[in-house]
Amino acid sequence: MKIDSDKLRLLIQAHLDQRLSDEEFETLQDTLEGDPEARAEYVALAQLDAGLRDTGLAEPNGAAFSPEAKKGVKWWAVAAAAAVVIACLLPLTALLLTTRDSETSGGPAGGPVVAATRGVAVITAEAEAVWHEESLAVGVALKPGRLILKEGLAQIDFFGGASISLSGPAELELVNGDSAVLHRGRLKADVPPAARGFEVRTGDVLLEDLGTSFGLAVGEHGKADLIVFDGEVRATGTDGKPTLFFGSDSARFDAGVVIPQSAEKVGDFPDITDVIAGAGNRAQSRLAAWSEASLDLRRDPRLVAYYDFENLTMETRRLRNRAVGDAPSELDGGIVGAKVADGRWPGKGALDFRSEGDRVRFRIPGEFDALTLFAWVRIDALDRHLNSLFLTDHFDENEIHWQISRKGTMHFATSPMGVVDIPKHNRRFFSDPFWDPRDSGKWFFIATSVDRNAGEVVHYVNGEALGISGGTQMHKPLPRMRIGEADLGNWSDPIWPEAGIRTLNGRIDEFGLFAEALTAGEIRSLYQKGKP
Amino acid sequence: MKDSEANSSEELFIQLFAQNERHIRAFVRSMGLDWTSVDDVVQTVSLIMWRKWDQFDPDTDFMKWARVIARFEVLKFRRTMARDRHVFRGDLMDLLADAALERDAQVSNERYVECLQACLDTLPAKSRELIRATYEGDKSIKEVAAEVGKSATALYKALDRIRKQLQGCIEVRLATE
Repeated sequence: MKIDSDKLRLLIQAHLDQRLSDEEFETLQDTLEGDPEARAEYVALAQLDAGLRDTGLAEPNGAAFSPEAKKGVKWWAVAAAAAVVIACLLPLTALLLTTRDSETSGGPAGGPVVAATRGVAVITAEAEAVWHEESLAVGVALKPGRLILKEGLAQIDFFGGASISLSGPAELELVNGDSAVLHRGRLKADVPPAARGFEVRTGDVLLEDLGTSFGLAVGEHGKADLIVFDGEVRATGTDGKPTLFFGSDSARFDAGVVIPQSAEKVGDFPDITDVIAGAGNRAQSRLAAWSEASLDLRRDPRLVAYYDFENLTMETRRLRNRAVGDAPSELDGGIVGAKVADGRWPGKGALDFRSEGDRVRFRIPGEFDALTLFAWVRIDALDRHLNSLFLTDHFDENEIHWQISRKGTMHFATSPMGVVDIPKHNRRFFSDPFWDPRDSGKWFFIATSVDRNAGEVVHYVNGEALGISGGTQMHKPLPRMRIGEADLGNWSDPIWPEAGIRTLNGRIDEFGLFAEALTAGEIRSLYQKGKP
Repeated sequence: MKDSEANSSEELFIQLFAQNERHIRAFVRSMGLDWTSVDDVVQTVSLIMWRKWDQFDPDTDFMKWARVIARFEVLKFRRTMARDRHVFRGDLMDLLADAALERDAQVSNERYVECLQACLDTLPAKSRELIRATYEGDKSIKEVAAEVGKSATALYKALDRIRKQLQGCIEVRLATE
């Protein structure tokens, strides 16, 4: 069957766009099977399609198509996409950081420092720790270089397998996954069999742990004390002669000379369990502080509704509204499917949204000239094109939608026409991206303030305003907003069934709405009171 | 002592995969699968490549290896999971894969993408905007048409013209390089 080339192109493109009739499909299939030139044409158009699609995905505002975008391949976007795939493959998710182009920005508001080419260790626990660099926190992967712990305790796992408890004030230089230099301070090292040979250098003395644990304290003038808790440590000074030390042995290092000494001379060493107990105490005190702030918040007269996710059991299928008012229980939420789970701290209640049906249903009456939506959210993954935070059923006139895109940008939308003629009337405000797969499992304070009279929508993450990366009809006036029936974490009665699955994959442990647009300062204060 | 080679082997996989993912996607696409299926297949391919990573010789061509695995997985996908009724017969998919390989032998996808990028820069702003609106995100053609104020048919026609222009431009660039 021979068809002319123009018709062939049309059929091929229509197949790529999935808009062929059955008859047309049969024609195309027959033609391709019989004609190698037709196949070459198909492959050529498919290649163009793939090129346009993947290039287009590079920038949220389409900057890939601007003359300024000189870079041929959007390395970071490709790497980020690949990283999502790879996240399922590797236990050491910290390795994902190695794919990031070091030219890209250091991360979203309050985000971690991006490790450059090689991470070698990761902070796994802290107790009252104060670092020289504010961005350091649990979960942050560390590249080779100096770490200064001004005070407190921290547990650091080296990628080679050894784990240390560092006690501040201390200065530790990370060399690679198997070795470090202690310039000052105290550390206790725990070296399992796989990490045997873990090295710590101090002054001119090299220590190799042959399993299992030792403590090292470096004080004034580089003088250091070693104590072996368990196992074997080999110490080599400037003379090059190694000395073996065993459990309960101790030594002093002075100017490169190794001097055995009595163990009583050596002071206390922080233990990993001390660090974790300390971290636990810290969590308890943060929870208590939040609890107080939450009780205070209930009384804010500007609240429409406020949910603290406390005292939830599997039997209670009601999410209680804590805002003080005339009939607060009218604004209670109905929990569907979502399971009770841990929130920001052990003992803090939360709901886990995972299965397609999970949601909390609300019916919130009223019309609003201003709104502030806020929530503490832990995003595990952004599975959908759009992931629901708070979506009113369907999308009727004046109703609002609050959600997060797959690219990690926050969306706020409302339209005076609702679902009618969406492209022409839908006011949509997209924030700069703030989340990428490395942030999976972290808790974020998300807020959006909307002021109809000022015509302003501001997105906030962790107390800081995000820029607006794009949107539609942003210049047009906002309607008097309505909520009515709505879902937290899902979308009921979606407009398009195929694209309508918006289930959040993650947890929420606090959520509320104000009938006013809070100021940046007020939002920052909410964040400070609730941050883990 | 932890084997320090292990780290770089994992890193090598990530590096190669990240660099080549788009080319793997383009290859799977050229066998006639829709984008949702492309995503599914490439996910499976990456898992398989990771599992078989120790069999891969770093001195050999990563994409060549990837394409062999991808081709197999596309055909497998077709047998078990193809959800769209307009999926080509298995024999045809094989033939399309051959055609894609032939094309790649003449011009690598890498070079193609570079030329495409350069050609996009030469498009007038309005055309670039149409392409961006169409290819970025998951809007249907009808929605894009409404956004840009055209009928769907007019939009198809406009896109066809732009695509032809792009193909012409790319051909010229490839020939003169």
